[in-house]
Amino acid sequence: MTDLLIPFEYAYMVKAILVSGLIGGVCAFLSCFITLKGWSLMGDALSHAVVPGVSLAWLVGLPFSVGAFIAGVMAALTMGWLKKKSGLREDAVIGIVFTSWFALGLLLLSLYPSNLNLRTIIFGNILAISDPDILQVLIISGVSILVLVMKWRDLLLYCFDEVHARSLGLNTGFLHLLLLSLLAATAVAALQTVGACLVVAMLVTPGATAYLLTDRFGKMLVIATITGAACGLIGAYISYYINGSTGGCIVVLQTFVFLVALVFAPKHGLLNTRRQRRLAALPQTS
Amino acid sequence: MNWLDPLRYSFMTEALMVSALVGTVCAVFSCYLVLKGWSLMGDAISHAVLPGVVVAYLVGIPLPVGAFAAGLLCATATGWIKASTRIKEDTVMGIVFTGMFAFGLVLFTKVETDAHLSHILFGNILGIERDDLIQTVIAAVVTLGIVLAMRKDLMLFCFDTAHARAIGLNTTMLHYVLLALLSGTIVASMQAVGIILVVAMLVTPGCTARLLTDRFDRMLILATASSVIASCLGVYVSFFVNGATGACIVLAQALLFAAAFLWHQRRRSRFSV
Amino acid sequence: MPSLSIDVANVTVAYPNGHTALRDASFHLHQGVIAALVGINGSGKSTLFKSLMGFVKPVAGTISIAGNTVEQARKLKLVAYVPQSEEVDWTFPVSVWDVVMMGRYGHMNFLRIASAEDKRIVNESLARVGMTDFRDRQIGELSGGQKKRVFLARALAQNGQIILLDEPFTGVDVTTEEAIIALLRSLRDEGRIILVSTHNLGSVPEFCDHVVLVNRTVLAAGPLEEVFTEDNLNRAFGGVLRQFHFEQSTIQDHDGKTVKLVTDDERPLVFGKGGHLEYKDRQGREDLVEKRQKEAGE
Repeated sequence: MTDLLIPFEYAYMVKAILVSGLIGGVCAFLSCFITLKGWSLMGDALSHAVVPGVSLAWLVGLPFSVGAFIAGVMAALTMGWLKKKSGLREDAVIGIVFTSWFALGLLLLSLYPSNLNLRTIIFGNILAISDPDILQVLIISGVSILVLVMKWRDLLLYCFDEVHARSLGLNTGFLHLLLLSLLAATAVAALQTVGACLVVAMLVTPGATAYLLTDRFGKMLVIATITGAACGLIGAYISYYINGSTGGCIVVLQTFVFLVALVFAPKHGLLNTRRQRRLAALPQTS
Repeated sequence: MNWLDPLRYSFMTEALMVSALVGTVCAVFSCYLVLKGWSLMGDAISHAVLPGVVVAYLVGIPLPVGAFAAGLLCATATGWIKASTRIKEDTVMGIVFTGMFAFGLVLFTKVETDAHLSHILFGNILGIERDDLIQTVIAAVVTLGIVLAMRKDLMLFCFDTAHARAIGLNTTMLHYVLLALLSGTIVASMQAVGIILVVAMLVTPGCTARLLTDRFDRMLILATASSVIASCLGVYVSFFVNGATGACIVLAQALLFAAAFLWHQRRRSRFSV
Repeated sequence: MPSLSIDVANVTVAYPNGHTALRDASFHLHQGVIAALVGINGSGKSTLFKSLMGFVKPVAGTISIAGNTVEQARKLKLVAYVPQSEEVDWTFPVSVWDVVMMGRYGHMNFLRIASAEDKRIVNESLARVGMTDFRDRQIGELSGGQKKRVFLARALAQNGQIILLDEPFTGVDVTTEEAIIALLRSLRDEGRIILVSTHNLGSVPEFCDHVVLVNRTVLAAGPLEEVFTEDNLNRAFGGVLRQFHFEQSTIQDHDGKTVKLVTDDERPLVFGKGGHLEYKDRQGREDLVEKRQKEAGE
């Protein structure tokens, strides 16, 4: 029994667990919008595109999150501009821009090593997170949560029916930028927890899991946030025992929860849809 | 340092040749990928090969075999989940590939130590070993051969799937052929640029060529040319700046794309006047 | 506020890529009409909608909505838009109630928290379109006609005085179509302007009072019976329309000249010999019959 409490005896573990839970929750809240808007590739792209900012921020002595955020937003703006000008498909433009940004980041990191080493940035290393970095994560999460709680209805309308939002006089250009900024900000916050390659999981999986379980957006937000936070907490906790990558554990856990929902969800799960199809095949006897 | 210096080292000439080969395969395939709108699929499969590589290493079979199998698994799982739920395809891909990558990562940190694996992530074209070299060449040549042999069918499939089906092509088969070729391409390039940056090799050359021409045949040639130039340039430059080779290649690709973009803009503004 | 109207004067819309979608278009609609916006694909119907909502700015000409500029009209939430079914993501996790509440967003505070008044209006709007019983359904679970009614309810909740409908009858069966038409008529009778974009010519005479014919410009606009003539339609559609001529029955003469036309969901448009519009039946058109008779007598 006491074995189960061992992780809590280490201050770094407690910090890691709590921070993972927080970031898991914030990312999950945002993931509801990302999955419905169909922005998974964008999430993946921005989480890679923030990397050069980390390196540059270190060179000029800024907090890493500021540099990373700026790099992420710049990448997003470049994508928008390039897409409009070149007429290429959006997914291709995103692919080009984020890989270039990311490659630039890798090159900079290989030329000028910073406080966050390459491994940390790519795979995350929440166990070694420093207190100033925790502070940055807290600030980013706090601001993101505040903005999301205040503006989630507008963002929902924007994701659901952009034309209607515009005809009501909502500033959809602003909402678009807001969603991109939130995406970049949470990608920055999640960078140290799970690493650039896996941030997109935090930004997609909980939302999709919740989407399988409910038809109401309000409930979807609640379910996603709880799943995300719980996976963050438990994943970090488990990683102590199997002594493996924390980010990997969190994401594997999230994927597992998704798969469970995929099979067993009451209405949209595979078991139920199979059953419905079987019933439909039976001769009608009413 | 003399600018011909790099060519005096055999590892450099070898690297230049391998990168040209890999660049060719990726470029040819990128034309199809860009037209089909499968950039995210390229990104997804390239990440999803990681667990395959680790498992192959543990079991002791050639890494490309494991990688190829994992790539196909990712593609089929995505297709299957997409077909049986209402979740958008891009979301499904995001879930599947991150799940597989995370699983690979957990395994990876457990087995650790062997340098091979981190070379898979970031590429190691300058220190490529004889065995890996042979595997890379085989994967590249086979993939390239199949793509070129089937280029008319694949092109029709990417352009107009319904028509392809109507004239009696087996589009389901073509779909999986394309996915298998994608996995093959990724396997061929992972030793050189690493699985994290492969997607750049798979998207950028096709787009660069697309900006320069409206004809598919010319697109293939231009994409290959730009990709080969960028790959060699990247390897060459990385020798002097002593930076990550994979990153240098991708940045060279981006530079060529930017040049093509400027040319495209100038031409367009001239026409619209 | 001056009485409700739409005035479009010499409007030209050109997109940044240089494509001129609409040139020198003018028409006027006064309050209490159902107007059809008729034209082929690419004729500028959606451009016209976009300009009325202020999404594209004309490079020349003016649009005035109840005496306001488009910008002011948008602030007053005068214009409501009912999208085409294909434009909506029906798997989105929102209920009927949520969608109709979205109509109130423009009227709410910064945090978009619904007041008792907002809820009352949403309830009323739902009752008006007869969808109260479905308020907790996810939108994908509705039939084609119910979906349309939900978005109409949203336009009502928005209190839109000008309602733009984009192809409202695609995927809707004939009975529901009639229910929606009845609803549109009652909205018209309250003085609203309803502008329906459609390519389904046959349904136009059944519920529209006015017609705006577009083909890269406004070819003709005005009361139905004046504008909806064979000549005008030929100008708007060119050779696109399929034509059947029934001078008489093709195989027999003994039953007079009656010919019956049966089609599936696309309603046919029928013209008389001189190119004038024929309706489904004479009922309710007595005044027109009288007028024509007089004209013929002169």
